[in-house]
Amino acid sequence: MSDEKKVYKVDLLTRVEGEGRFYLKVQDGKVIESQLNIFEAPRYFEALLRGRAIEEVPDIVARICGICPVAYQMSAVRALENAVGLVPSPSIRALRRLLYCGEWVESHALHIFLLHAPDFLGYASAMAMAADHRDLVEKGLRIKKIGNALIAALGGRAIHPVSVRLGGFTAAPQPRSLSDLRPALQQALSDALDTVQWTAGFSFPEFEQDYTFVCLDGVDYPLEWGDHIHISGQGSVPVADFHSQINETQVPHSTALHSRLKNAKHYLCGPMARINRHHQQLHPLALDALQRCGLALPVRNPYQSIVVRSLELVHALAEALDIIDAYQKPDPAFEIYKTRDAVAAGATEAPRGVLYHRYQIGEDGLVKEATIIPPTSQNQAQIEADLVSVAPQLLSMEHEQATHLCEQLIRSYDPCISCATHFLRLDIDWDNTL
Amino acid sequence: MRIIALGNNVAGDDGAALLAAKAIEASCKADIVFAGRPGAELLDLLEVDEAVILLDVVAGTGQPGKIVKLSFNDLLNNLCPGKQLSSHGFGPTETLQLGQALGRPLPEGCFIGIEGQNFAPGDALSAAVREAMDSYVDCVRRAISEFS
Repeated sequence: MSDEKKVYKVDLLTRVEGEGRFYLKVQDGKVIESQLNIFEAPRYFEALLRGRAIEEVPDIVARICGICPVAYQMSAVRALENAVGLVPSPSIRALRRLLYCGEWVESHALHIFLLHAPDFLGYASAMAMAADHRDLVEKGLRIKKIGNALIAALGGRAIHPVSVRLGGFTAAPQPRSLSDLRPALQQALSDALDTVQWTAGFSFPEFEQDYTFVCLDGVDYPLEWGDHIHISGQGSVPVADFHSQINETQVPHSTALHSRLKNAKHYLCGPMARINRHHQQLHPLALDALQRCGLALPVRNPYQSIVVRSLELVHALAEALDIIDAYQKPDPAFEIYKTRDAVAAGATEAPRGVLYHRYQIGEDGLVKEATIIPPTSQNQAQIEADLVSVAPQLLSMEHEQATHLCEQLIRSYDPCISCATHFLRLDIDWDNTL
Repeated sequence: MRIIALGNNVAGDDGAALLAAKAIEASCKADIVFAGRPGAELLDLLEVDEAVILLDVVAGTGQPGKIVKLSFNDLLNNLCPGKQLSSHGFGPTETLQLGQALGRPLPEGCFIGIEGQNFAPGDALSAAVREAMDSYVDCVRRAISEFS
């Protein structure tokens, strides 16, 4: 046996959200070290929330992420409304679900068309892909645009929306402002149905894994509502007890906490977990698309998550149309509540998976403690385990090809590492400056 | 006219363009968009039949407070190849390149950047950028006159 060592690494992961790298060291065909490094500075949001009024929480947590601010708002209001004993009306819930559909649409469209599809079509970036597949990229941007338009119509603006508040919304939209979106939503739905067939035809690396799946449990396809979280092989636990089912630990190579179940097992949350458990709750159009596209359930190959996201795109668009068709403006737009000493949790399904919030609040209406567990930190240990599992396939590959396969694997999780300061990189002839 | 300001107002110098836009807001009739980090939506914001002034913070030359004004074409020609298409990092670089690849026309107008130094969350403006802010705002005002 040779003692050959191979190291696969990418110092700056591209087409993921935020700043990260991966490192995989293989010796004698065995992985010695597997790390998904997250090196963005911690942002201390949980500490920042302490002492703030509970009314401020939805707007503060929305700033955690520019891609999924609605998810943070939804989990926050679920937890805080549980804390004050408020159950929103069906019309408020429908409006929130519609807002969340907008976020799923924009997030999934971005990932499918601009971040993940280039891997399957052999391009280094969406820009390179756009040169040859302009229609595809324009289609993705068109779908994403209607997702943003939905968020803007309900949330006041597409990025970091501002209308969500405890008990409902600061204001509810006029029916006309929603029905005006119908033609674009209908077009996007048609595009999304095509997208399912398109992505299902991709060639996927062989990589079936025996995952533990974690997702929200409720009556509908999991999104903004659900009182239990299902852990495959273990059953469902009340959302309030979920925190006691996992351990969050710090690892030296990451500024994000790793989550594992109490039995130390890593787990996967996100689209695959949702569709495997809840495919019967998909919108009939999405269920029909699932049956026609030939995707076999349960899905255990993360590379196929692009197909699942496409199906969820259909689901979100079809459901958005249904909600708009049935929309009656809630009056009032929010319900009154009385604050009290309480500890409560809430969870919703962000595009990338379960987003758990837990708050301890006082009778004075201030936050005493906050805990936020985002899906990417829950998936981080699973991603590292996947890199270990894929190692045997890498050995027969050229180094560049092997590294790309690892990157593609990480990207299939659509990891949302965190918001980072962005730079415009310039190489300037300073003679042009003022 | 549309003025689009990019950046993050809780990350030190990264908020300088937003501050400049705020400084001219009261005295300017232009459509001012505090876009923050709009990602690919910047393409939609650029799709207007009027002049656009794009404001952002730049990095890389080691001269904090330096102001740079470029046409959109010059901006595209001066972009360094860099990290591509993180959706959070889907900044003006990638957006303009994507627009170019899609054959979308660039609007009339210009880019005005200011070089930053400190970008850590919670940081205040660096001294160099703070001192240059008046010049930056003046530069934006001159560009508004130029394209009005």
